[in-house]
Amino acid sequence: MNDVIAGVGALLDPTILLCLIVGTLLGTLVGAVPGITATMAVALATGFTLTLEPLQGLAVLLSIYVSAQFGDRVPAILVNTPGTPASIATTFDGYPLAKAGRAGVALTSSALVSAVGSLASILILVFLAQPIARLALSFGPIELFALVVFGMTMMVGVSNGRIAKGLTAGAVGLLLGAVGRDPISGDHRFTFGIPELTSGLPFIAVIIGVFGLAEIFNQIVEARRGGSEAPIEQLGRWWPDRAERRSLVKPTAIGTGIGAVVGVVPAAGGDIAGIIAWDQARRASKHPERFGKGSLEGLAAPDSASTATMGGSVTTTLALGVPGDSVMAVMIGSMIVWGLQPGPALFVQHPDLVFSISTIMVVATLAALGLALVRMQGVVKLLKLPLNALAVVIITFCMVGTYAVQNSVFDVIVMLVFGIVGLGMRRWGFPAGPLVLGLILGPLAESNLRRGLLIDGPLAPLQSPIAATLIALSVLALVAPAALRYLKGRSKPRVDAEATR
Amino acid sequence: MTAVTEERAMRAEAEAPQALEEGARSSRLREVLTGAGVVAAGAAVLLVAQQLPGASAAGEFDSRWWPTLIGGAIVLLGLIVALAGARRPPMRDCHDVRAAGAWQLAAILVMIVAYGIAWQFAHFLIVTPVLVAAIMAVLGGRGWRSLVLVPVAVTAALYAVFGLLLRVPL
Repeated sequence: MNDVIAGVGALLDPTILLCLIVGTLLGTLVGAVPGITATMAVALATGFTLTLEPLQGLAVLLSIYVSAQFGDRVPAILVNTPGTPASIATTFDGYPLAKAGRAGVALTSSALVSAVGSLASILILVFLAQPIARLALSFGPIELFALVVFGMTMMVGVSNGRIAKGLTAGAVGLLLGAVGRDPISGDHRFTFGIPELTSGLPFIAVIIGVFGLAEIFNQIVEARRGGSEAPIEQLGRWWPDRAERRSLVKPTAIGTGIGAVVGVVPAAGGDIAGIIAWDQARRASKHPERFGKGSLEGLAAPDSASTATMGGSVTTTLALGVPGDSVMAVMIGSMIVWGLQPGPALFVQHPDLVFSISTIMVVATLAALGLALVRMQGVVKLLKLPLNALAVVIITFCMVGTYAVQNSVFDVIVMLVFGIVGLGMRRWGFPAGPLVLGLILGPLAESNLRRGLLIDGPLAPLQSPIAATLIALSVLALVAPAALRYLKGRSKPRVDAEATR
Repeated sequence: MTAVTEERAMRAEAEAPQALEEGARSSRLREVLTGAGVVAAGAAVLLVAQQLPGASAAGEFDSRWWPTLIGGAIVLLGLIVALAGARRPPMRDCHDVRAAGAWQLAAILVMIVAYGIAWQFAHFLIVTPVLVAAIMAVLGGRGWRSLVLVPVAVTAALYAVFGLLLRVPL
């Protein structure tokens, strides 16, 4: 109880409220602008939050994370373009609803179910984070190494079938994490005589480069941002009627349940949960034929699912130190700079933190809901923001934000280099998430594996049941998609043969 | 359908399989080259890792061990990328690069480097609007709003957030 009071009481500082308001406005704004993802926004905000107190910074970053999940529905519904990947499934029914003159009802319903999903997921954080952390506290070096491997392979496993490229990106990230002093012997590695590299690559600069700058560089070389559809400006009726509200209940329950489970799985985020929930709600619906043609049920399920992943993602991140999704991978970087190392020990050192974070997320959810329910015609104008204005804002904020972290020009150079590296990765189909994860978790993985091997010998990973299980699950996550594809390929000709018989 | 559009449609239909085949071939080549590049990078890592100082106290798990392990993994993964790409090239999820877009990006990078140098000699409030206006111009911005209002507004916002609020020495 004392931890609850301490956690909530720490937020009574008025500057934290100000940070929450700024974060909510920024999150809604970036969510509504196609081309800026929540990960990119959090990476950009990292530049100016690192100089703040940890709770102030967390208030900004978490409220961006939460409210971007509300703002991103606007372009998904009005322009058929997801504001962030989490609203991909929103377009399935959101845009048909808008085309049918029900954009206002779609936007309001989406905001309401998103709030339900978000608030329900915060319960997971409150009740599960500490028990999971307590369990993980018994982990030794080899189990911690296995946990890092598990987190990384899960992120690779969900990278759209690009498993070999995802693993390559992860391996390169681990290598980048080896730059600087050896965690055990202290020897210099890959520093090439550059003194700034002695303490390792500045990972905030790398994160801003590969998530912030690379994305806008890609939009410049493609000169294609968002969809080609003109935004729907006639929003129509705003509030759903009684029958419509009732139709939202079942798909919201399905979506929230699916999102809660998917959120706890490391690296699986709102995009995956949304698509699964849409499909499951269609199967459970009395009117599956309306899905994809403008069904409110088809809108409610994915929107509640994607926000319901947030609590689980934060839980996995804080309790295990393994990011729940790509936004959390970026946030881990900020937390390390603040001296808050996510992982089982965090709750021993800061038991009140889980309640502070939960309260920030509840307030951010309510603020984002309030903002989403205000009928804003102005938001439509936001969807017409030209690329050049967006590009200058992002490029200059990336540069000055990176410089602000350590007042270092070297960091800005690193950010630019990784902006170009990130662009190359994107063009050649290598996902950026595993690279960042490898960079952040690399030193942890290396030091724990080497310690484990030195203490228990080369068979250490197989002697620990927890480590062996986590490694087996990692292998399964990598092999299962290919095995399923193979089995599908084998069964298809048989089905075709039977059909022609 | 007019005769001309009908003829065009028939021609497009006839050319489609050929275009698809060509696309798949170039995609295969691209994937094989990507894999080869990864193998080369992994080999370079292995080479550099051998130059690292070894710590005898750590036995076989010394400073070189982890980078060598990762370098080996990168070589292996590069081979898999090349083989998988040669067998079945993956679907691309990004649009083609426009030549003009590539030039615009190159120009912006040069401007950023020039900005970095100029910042050593002139105040942030002087060099930043020039950079913003130059980027806007390269990306097609014209008129006083794009070339004056946006640069002044962006510079003011940056200075207010970082210079005044967060007290970063700009």
